[in-house]
Amino acid sequence: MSVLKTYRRPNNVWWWRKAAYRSFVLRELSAFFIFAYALVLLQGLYYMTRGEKDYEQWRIALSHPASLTFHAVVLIFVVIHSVTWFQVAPKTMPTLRWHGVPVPQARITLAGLTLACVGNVAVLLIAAFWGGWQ
Amino acid sequence: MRIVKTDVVVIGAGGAGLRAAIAVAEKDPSLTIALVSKVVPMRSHTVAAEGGAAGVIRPDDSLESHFEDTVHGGDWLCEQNVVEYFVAHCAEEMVQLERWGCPWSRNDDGSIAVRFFGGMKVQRTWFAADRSGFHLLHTLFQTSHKFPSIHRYDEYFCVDLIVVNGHIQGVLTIEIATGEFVLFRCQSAVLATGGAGRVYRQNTNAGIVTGDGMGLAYRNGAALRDMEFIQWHPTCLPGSGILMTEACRGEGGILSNKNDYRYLQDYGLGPLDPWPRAKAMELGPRDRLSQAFWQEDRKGNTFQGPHGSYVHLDLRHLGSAKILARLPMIAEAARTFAGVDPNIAAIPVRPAVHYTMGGVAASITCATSISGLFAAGECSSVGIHGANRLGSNSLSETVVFGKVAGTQAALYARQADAYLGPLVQELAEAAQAGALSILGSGKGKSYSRSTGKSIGKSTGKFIGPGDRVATLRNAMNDAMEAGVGLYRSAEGLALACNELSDLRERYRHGVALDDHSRAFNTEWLSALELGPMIDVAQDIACSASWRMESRGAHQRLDAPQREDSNFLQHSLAHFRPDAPPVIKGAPVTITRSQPASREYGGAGKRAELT
Amino acid sequence: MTQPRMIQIECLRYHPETDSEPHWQTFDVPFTDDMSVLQGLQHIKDTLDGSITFRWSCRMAICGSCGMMINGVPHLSCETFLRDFYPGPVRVEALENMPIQRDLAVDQSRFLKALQSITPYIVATQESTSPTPAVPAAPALATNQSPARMAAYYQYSQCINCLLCYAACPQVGLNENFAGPAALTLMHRYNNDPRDAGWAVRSELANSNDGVWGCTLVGYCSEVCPKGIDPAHAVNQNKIHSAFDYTGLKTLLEKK
Repeated sequence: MSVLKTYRRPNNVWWWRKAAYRSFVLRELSAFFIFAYALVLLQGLYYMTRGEKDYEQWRIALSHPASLTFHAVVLIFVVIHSVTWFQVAPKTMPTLRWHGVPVPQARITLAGLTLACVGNVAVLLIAAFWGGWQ
Repeated sequence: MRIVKTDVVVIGAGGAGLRAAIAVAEKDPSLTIALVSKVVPMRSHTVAAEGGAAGVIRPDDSLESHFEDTVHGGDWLCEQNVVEYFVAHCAEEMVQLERWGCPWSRNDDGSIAVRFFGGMKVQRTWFAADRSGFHLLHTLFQTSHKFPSIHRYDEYFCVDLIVVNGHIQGVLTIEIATGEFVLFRCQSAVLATGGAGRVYRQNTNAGIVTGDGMGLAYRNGAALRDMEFIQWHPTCLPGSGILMTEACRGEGGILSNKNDYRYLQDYGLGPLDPWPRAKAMELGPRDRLSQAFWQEDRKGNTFQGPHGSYVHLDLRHLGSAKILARLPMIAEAARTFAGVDPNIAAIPVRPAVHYTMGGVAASITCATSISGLFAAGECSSVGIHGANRLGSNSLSETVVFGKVAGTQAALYARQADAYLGPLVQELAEAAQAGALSILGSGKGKSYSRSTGKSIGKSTGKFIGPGDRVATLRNAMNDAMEAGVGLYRSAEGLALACNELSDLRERYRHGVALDDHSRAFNTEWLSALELGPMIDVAQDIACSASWRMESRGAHQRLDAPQREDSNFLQHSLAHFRPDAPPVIKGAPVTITRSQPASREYGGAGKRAELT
Repeated sequence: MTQPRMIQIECLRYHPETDSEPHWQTFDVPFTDDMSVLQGLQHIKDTLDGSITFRWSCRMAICGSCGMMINGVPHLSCETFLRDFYPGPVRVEALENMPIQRDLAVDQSRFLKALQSITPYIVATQESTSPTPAVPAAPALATNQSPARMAAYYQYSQCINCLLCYAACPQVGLNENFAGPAALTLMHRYNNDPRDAGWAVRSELANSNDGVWGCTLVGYCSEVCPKGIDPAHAVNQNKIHSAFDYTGLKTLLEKK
């Protein structure tokens, strides 16, 4: 069989060309920021083991403008990460059915996000009150 | 040219072709099968069939009833022994498909659901939502992967059949991607190339339904039978011809004219009440419904639109739940292509050419007059549809007779002697030369083409610049729409016959192509298709001219009655390269059902639409 | 009668016999409001340049032949309308991620191979264990299948094999051997069919990097699918199955 040459179009910089791809990359990139923040938390844990004075110094260092900027960026990516996690979640599980009717994926996402928000607010409140008592 | 040696060639990989290939593989796994198709199999036109496939399963149904409905629907032009075989094997094939995974729609208890269809007394149409053909084809295509003896040749275009001493010896094809010629040498072959609806302009058919397969058999000596019977489907979108399935009416849809009047009651399909009932009003047969539209149009009772006149198909009263469950694809098609949401508005519809009742004359074993060549599906005329096909009989036909053709081709291949002489190569080379002469060389130049190997030889004489593909195609469409429409007359048919004779001449003078290359040259392939298409179109016109009566889908203004004394016979057309075909009559096999008058409508019980 | 409006259609042309790379060609096409891009291309082929090559057949979005990139997005040209791009131009190109055979036609063999590799047919229980299954006798009755059991797979059986998802999926472009959204969706369709017992036969491919793990859940495939099948869901549901398979939990949890 004679084989004619087909043409393969170049595939570089694919990830910036479409909105869907940009969202995907942003979602995946957010993992690095989660990881980075995990490192910060680990660092905090370490300083906690070194005693109150060292821990206090570390905490004050965190309010440096550069650090605050970093934390703001991390917060944005944590929100992106969480929201996209709940958007993706229904796609990783079998179709949920309620009395035979499929539950729309958007509803699952909304339920998850709502639970996450409620959980976060609860933790914040508890921490605030507990902190207040101390 | 490349040569591929195989036992059986199956030409066409739609419902019939795939079923035939599977049948060969199951019957005799030691036979090699070349499954040749000009498109990848899931693009075959079977995919667009919507409504369903008939098969008797209800306890209140019987083979006798299916037989009666079919013969009655065919206006007694059916080969009744073949219909008997057919109805006895439909359900078995539907069950086989189900076992292969076909997602037939179910009742709540999990049993197979069947619905009413036009012209049928009892519900017997198995369906998979409103995409039955899609599911049937994909089930067959996917199942075909189970059989290593089936070798697929996707996008190979059939140029000619190689017939020596009345026996099929091979099939010459073009590998579309490269333009290279490939000769399949075989012991037997199955022709499953579909219908010829594209000879008309307004049709429900895909671009590939060009009748060139039956045209090639015709040019090689096989007779075409009953070609004058062309089915117009009554409910298609104006302009595009996109099909609004009969299932719309099977589920209870109604047709009304511009006066909001359900006009079918004036055409022997009433009375209106009790409604719905089987075989009455919108559940009448397709020929009667299309003809009623034509009459209403003449009376000025139809709506006028940018793509011609139309009437309303109203589904609103079915409710959106039913439309979503049973007719989802229709709703989507109506929204996309007509801008109409059937939940809130009526769909504009008019008749369009849909099915070719006639085809290559074939026996109950699918054997044609070319030894070793079997035909199945829409390209064949095994004799089950007669003068008018009932909806849902043709999807069943593809699998019932696909299996027969495949089984017979396997048996034939086992016992056939291999032909060893040089004629096969010579004929293949002549056919190749003919195809290359259509391709021409250099812009604007074209050459005349060989007209048939068993009769003439390629001349290669340069005659003139030739017409564009579209010009010839449009001229053919115009001649057919004007002269060989729903209602015909002697003058109109004679005019069409002559115009098509002229077109054959013009075609012979060459086709002006822009593209003279070999690789994936679809303009060349369209030009190659046109030759046999024009021959088939001429046969339709001439057969219609021969039949001086009105029967089923063939209606003559100058002969409005059915004339059993002269015309209770098939038309058989034999190809002539330099003249219109010779048309002769052939007797109809009548076993149990004597011709009577075709009655629809009338009194009856109210039916429960399932 | 009003004059038809004009719109420019730019097509990416490529001829394997003469071109070393593709080039753009522009056509001026008169159009009416109900004309699809496909009809625009047919007008070009009929009257302006017969050499333009594109696949098409049914014209009603069921055969899957006419997929192409229209202004950078994979579409079926038969159900994409010129009026929505007015004043244009409309850029038409062969589906991405697959090699161009000619003009707007791509090499589909990658998909057809993937289709073969997922064992795309019902593997009945006895066949899945026997090495050389005998030809089964003609079945007498249809299996009983409630609407609920059909619902487990029906959506995924609607794929028209149009390959828009292959054009959409960046992993298809990056990994030559990735089975791809449609093939994996069909695999899921069969695995979820109550008549099928073929998970074991399909699992080697499913669990590999060319199977479900080749997917990074970009999700664009589900956005472009003209039949709303949600291939991303079909593929990613199976990551749980695959993980269970890997840890041996699947066999443990399997209900006989």
